[in-house]
Amino acid sequence: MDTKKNDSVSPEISIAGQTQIAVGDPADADGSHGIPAEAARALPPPARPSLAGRTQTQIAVGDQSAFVYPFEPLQQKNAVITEAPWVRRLLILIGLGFLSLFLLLPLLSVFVEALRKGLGAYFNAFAEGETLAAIKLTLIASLIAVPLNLIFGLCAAWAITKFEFRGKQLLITLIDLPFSVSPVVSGLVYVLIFGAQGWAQPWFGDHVGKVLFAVPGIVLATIFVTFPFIARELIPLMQEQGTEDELASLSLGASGWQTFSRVTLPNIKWGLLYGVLLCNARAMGEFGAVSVVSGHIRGLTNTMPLHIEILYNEYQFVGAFAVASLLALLALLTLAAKSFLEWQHADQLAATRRH
Amino acid sequence: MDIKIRGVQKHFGNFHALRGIDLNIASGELLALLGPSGSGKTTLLRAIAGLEPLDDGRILFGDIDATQLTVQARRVGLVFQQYALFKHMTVFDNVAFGLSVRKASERPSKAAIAARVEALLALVQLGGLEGRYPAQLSGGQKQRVALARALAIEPRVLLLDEPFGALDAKVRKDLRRWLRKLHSETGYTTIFVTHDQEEALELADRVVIMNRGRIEQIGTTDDVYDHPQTPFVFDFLGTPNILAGTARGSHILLDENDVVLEHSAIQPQGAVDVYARPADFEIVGPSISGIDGEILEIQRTGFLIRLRLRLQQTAQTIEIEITHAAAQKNWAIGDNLRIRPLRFSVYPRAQEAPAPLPIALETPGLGISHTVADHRVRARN
Repeated sequence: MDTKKNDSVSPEISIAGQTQIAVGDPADADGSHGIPAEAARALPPPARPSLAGRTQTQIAVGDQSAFVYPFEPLQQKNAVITEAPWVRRLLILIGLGFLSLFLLLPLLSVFVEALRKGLGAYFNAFAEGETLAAIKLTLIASLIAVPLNLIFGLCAAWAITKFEFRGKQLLITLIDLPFSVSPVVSGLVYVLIFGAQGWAQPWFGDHVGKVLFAVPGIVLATIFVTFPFIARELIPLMQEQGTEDELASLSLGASGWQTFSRVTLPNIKWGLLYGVLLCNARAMGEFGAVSVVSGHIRGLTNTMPLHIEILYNEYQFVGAFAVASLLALLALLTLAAKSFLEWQHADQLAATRRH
Repeated sequence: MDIKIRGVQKHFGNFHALRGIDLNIASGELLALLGPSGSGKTTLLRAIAGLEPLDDGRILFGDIDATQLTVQARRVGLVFQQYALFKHMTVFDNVAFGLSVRKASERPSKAAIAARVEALLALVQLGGLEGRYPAQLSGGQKQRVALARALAIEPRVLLLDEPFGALDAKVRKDLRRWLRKLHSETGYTTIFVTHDQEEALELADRVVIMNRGRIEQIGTTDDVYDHPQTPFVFDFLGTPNILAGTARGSHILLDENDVVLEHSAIQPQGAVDVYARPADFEIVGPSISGIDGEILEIQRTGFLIRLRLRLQQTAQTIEIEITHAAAQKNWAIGDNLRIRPLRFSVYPRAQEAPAPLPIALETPGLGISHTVADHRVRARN
């Protein structure tokens, strides 16, 4: 639930609740006295086991501190449960050192390398036609793959969590397949199907057009690799929610579509958005599978990750790192959006935090 | 609306969940489906709601054959143990849901929906809480919203699946009384599922006791308590003492001593089991025929004294409850007492099978005796 909304709403409610008690409203028949559950939980606990051994005056002091009860353990500097100061500092140092060396430093170096020859050179790198084409292709591939996987993932999660059928376990395993198979193998599959010797190529080449070494191949590979993200995000969430809401809705006369759009979708919308973000991040960043099917034709079948590699191999470091910085920026934006969602809807996402 | 259930069969794979259920529910009746878990009571409720397709049999709502009707077309009011309120909707929108999803041609006007929701919330004593979300309500309030939501569509029948199971004891008791009152005011045909015998006996007009996909007994509270038709029913409604005996005519000769019990009703003959509740024993003097036992344990509660006795002849242990008035103050462990069952039920003694045969359980027609046999094995163990 939306925590911000709660904060603004509950004071009014408790006031309204109190008035009801005053006039003896029967709505309070179950003894909650109109105080919403959240407000009741926020009240200090009446007594705690830790107070048991203290004297009367100490208990009075302890009761006051009960108002900050959730934070109390931080205030206690208990020598029994903490290490010596030098050990703690050393451990923190090691942790921070590891974090900077393996996560922050590479990220920082991308931006440093990109800006090494000044802002002018940085922006010039994006003016190049091939770079722009790579950015465009990456966006096209994501824009096709993510919505399609949104639909596939939603359908798969809906089928798996709301119905019982034969072969369900097999379907779950199949959804996980792209996670377990190396992206290079995923790419090779399409080469085997649509390549010059591939079994589908004669018909496809004549009737549909080129798949391999063209945009369709890249889109197909991206869809394959990013398929599990949304389904995997939704399945635990929807499993936890069960089917009773849907049954209630059906029994009230709602059609299947009404039940989906008015009951199921609102229940999963934050988990769904979260899955879309993860899926998008992977779709834009995918290298292995796309590399196999792309053919690396500059300006035509190069996505951003592929283009970065080419530029780098040609010693165009500013160009390579400039594109890399853009990709990193997109990833950082995704992460920021993800953190924002987690912060706003922590309770609904709790069941799905597995990645 | 009256409901008729005819020969309903349901399998889940190899599991025979409903074995030919026949049941008539009168219009306006409050009926409890009572049984242990796995007895088929929830499956039967779901079948009436249209959530479980039947393998065989028919379900009639009045004159309408509802067997092939969809959940939506059956228009039943469903209430779940875990409320199943729509969390993202206010109380108002939850209650209005059933009306607002109707086709434009059948949908009441906004004002009419609002008026109906208001009336329903007043009925369930939640007036003024329209704007709240389910998370801001207590368990009892949530269940009343769920009930109002189910009533909004003017259901043909109200189906409650363990409606008080998730509530604490006090709220449960209050809500039970309130539901009883609501039922007498609104008169909806209501079927509720419970595994709590106290709840079923207190709330329902009639109780249907189910076991292993079959109905063991249908009757009023007094019926099922005073005249349990099968050992299962007797056992389910209390912890019986089981005494072995032999019936001849209207007499029963218990295996211990030469106790003779009179039994007026037509009873099974030959080897029988006498079932008697702990509270249905009396202490008798040495001149009257009775069962002799030695006190193993004395437990005093407010108004009852609970005694555990070892019978002298068979070494069987039984439990009896005596009121303070009938008890002697100076009883001590090791004392000998003579007791006699005042009220009891007599069932033919089931064949003691060495092990229950799973194949036999699936055979139609033999079911009831085997059910009894199984039950007896369980009771003895």
